[in-house]
Amino acid sequence: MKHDKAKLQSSLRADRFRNILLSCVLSYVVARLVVTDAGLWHPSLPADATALGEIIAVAGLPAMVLACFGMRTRYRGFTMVCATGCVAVLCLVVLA
Amino acid sequence: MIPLLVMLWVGCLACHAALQPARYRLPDLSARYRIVMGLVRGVAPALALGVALAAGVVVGVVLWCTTFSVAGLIVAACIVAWSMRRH
Amino acid sequence: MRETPMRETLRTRMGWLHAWVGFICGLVLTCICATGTLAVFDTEITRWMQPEIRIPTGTSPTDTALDAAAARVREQQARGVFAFLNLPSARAPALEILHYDGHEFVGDTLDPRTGALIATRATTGGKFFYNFHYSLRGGGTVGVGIVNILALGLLVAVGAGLIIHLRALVPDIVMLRLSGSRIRAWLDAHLLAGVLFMPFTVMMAYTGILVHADTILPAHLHVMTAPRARATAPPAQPAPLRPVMTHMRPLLDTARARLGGRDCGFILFLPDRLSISASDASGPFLTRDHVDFSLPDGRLLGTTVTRRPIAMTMHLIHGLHYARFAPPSLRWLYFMSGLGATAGIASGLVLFLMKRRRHSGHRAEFRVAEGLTIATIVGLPVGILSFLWANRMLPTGLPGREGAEITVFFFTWAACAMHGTLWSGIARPMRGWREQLVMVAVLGCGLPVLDATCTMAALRASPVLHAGIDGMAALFGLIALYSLVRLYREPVG
Repeated sequence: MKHDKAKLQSSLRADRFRNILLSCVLSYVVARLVVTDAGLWHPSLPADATALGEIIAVAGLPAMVLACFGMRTRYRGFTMVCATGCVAVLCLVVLA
Repeated sequence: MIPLLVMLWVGCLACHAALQPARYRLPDLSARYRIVMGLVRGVAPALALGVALAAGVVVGVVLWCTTFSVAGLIVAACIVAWSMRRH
Repeated sequence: MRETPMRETLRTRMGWLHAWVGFICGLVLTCICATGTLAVFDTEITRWMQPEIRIPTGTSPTDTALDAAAARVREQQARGVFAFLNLPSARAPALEILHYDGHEFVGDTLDPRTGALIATRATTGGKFFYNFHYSLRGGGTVGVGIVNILALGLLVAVGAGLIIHLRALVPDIVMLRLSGSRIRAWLDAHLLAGVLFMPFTVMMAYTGILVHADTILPAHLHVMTAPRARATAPPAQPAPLRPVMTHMRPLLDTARARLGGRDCGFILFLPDRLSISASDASGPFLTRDHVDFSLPDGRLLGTTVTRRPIAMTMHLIHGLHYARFAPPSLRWLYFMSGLGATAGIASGLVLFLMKRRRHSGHRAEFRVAEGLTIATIVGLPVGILSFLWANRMLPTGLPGREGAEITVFFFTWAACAMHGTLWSGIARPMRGWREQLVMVAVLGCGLPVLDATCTMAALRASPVLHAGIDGMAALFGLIALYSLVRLYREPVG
């Protein structure tokens, strides 16, 4: 029984570790897309537009990591962040 | 200005602790005192913000937040000192 | 009997995230926060470390001094040093001719009354802590990127902590139960520091990341940018340096008027023009508004003032983080808040180890973690105090003196890390804690004595400055002494 408990704990740790890595990677990609989109949104003032993108992305990055990692019910967190990423990619395609 | 802000926050947080006597192991208060303390707890932060904003919006908000932190430490230390004396 | 699976709730997941991200990032974040806290008074620390400068605060530079300084700058530029002139301020009363040496801004100090060079001991001063804070000293772009990633880790840990503690956040806001169990007492201390200083911590982490956001969030995705055309033209010859044939005073007066009455901060001497920038201390917005004058005649070329909303927001973000606008009282509040934030993270490190000691204390990883924690919480103050002691003890004319002081800092810190890890490795970590606390107590309480012995004249010239720095060192020494006494009640091991 002790062995089972240790195995459960070990698999839980591995699951959490995988989840946090995935959350970080996904959130970072979305944040980068937001910054790139912002830079393309206002070509006449790219520095200001990029700065605005950075303001939003830096605020959103930790929130996305927490949402991805914390909202496990039906993978709501991942779904939300992936949806945000898809919107960012669409904007990139439209603006580029 | 900073001592005034700290005093206002100390008043607010001390009343906050006093309104939860079981939690903070403080003596119970009568209903009249509870009303007054509730008022102080509600009004003091707003008053502190008004005083702080006299120094400008940005500086005022920074002063308001940092004096809150310092006042919290003072109140926590006072509660600990009071508890140690009592027990 | 079937084993029930461990209940995975939001709080348990966030608890795990907060603990592990907090500990791993916290080991370096404690150092970043501590050096950032010291950087609030970087100018004052530099003045303390150069006791040869005894200029009363509020001394205005004379016309002779300004013109002499301008000539010196051009002289250095002719020798290939990209120098600029830093004007006196309330915090730093001397004229400074500075250049960037790859790590800090260093250079000559001039008397603002005469323009004469003041022979000061070579030191990086408080700027060393500033440099360590934002780039881990010598880390360059990689160092800045690492600091930014750790700051993001801090925000994640704070967010996770907020989710765990949300229900008791307001009711327990001033809770501190020292009479209960040790873990309870440390948890309360961690929560108290964490919650009370959370607005400051989040503000500094967020603004700090934004200051160098381009290192981790560069603007362009490489796949989307067209390859740059290769430069075919040969590199241009550096433009010839035009002499400064005009007096500085009228230019400064014009610049002040054009900048809306704001004081002037520094003067850039470009090959064909002068650029006088507004002082960083003139307001919470850290603008680089400047007035340009042509050379050699000093004719006004124009004024550059930024008023675009997003640019102003970034200036505010920079201003809030650097706090150069802060008067002494607000600066002390920044300092205390920085100490509070550092204490919040450091107490979290101790709590992490305490919670896991029973089950994992025998493991090598735990002992290494404890050794690193000792190095961070106690070893770093030993290193910082050694840096200040080295400033007083090393001969003033020693070649490479700046580097020697920094070597003392890193050598002492590394020795403390090894010392802590060794004692922790043989399952006697308390010895490591105690012995290093003794070092902090001796160095901290001894600094005022050393300062009075070595630099009495400077102490008399700037008593408030020396009282502040010596006083803080002594206070930390006394805190270390108190901690030592408390630890002696613990069993050795």
